[in-house]
Amino acid sequence: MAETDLISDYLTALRGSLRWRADVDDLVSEADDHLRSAAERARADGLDAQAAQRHVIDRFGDAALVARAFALAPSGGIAMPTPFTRMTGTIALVGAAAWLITAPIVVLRADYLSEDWEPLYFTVAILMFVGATCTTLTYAGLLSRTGGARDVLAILAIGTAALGTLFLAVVTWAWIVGVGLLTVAALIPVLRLRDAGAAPRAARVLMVAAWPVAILSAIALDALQVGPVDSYGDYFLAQLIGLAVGCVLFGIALIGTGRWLRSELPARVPAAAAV
Amino acid sequence: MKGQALKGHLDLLVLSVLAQGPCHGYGVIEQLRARSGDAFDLPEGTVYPALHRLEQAGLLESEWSEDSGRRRRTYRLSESGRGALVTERSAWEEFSDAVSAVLSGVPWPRPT
Repeated sequence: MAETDLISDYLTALRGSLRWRADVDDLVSEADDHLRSAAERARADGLDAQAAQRHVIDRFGDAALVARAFALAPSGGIAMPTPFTRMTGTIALVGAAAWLITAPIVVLRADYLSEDWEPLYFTVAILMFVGATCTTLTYAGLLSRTGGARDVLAILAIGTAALGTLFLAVVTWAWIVGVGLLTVAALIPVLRLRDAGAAPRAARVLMVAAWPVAILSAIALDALQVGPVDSYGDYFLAQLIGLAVGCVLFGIALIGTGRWLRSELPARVPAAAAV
Repeated sequence: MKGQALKGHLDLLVLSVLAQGPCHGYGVIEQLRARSGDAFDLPEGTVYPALHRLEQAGLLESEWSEDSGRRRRTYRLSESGRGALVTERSAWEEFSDAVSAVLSGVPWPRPT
């Protein structure tokens, strides 16, 4: 019976955990050389092939642990805190403020049935534009922090978020489309943060869950016929309450990620010593 | 000695190993273990991020080669790395002497 190549299995797992890295081939090659060299030494010391492979893999460390160490250490100029990533932490907090201010305005001043609705509508449009712009920049910071913001998926995420921002600014009343695009765009940075074990877990979850919860709330309240009906026959207050829920939840997510981005000082040169 | 106890000292140790001459990652880790009398026990894979960080900081240089059909990355100390090693080593000796001086004035507690 053919022997199982445990090292190949391990390297496959490691590659999977490091798949976002632009330098993944180099990292896996280096681990491959280490493990094969160590296994040859272990065999020379008397272990059989399988035992030697198990021994060196055990010494190298769990693939997820090693991938996490790589994810939070610089390599090839990426995946480390920089002045830019720290600045995006501040931008995230500004964005959080914009979303959180929007929430009470859309609900408590929901006098859209009056003839004087335009100033309020445009106030909300500007606030949401500011919030979404800051959100897009925050995504760029999170992507830069976890492996780079210049690969195809990262550019796609930032582009989608920018499109959502534009949509919210131009057709604010159709906010569901805009926040939907922001949520789709959030998936890439959030998945990378999860792989790196970085940023508070609650903030990561809220970043992708906030707007779906908001949209479901709006649909549920609409079905329950909450509030008055506007000239289009819509229960507009139901939609606005859903929007406010999303603003609060997403604002909290941005506070969590913003505080995390700000908490990391940019890597110094020469680097500070750390394992 | 677990990885946590090495926190803050690994860069100095890696620089000191590479001051002996160019070496690949596995060799660096082997020397760390041998020269510490097997005292340094941490997941070997976590040493590589430290090597990459030191290279990023300009303290190490690396190049790829082929050996027995495998790609191998060899690290060497840069000029900046030599300067950093002198500074870090001096700081460590000062710290170590100070700790030893404090501990030497305290009798070992008797085991109960």
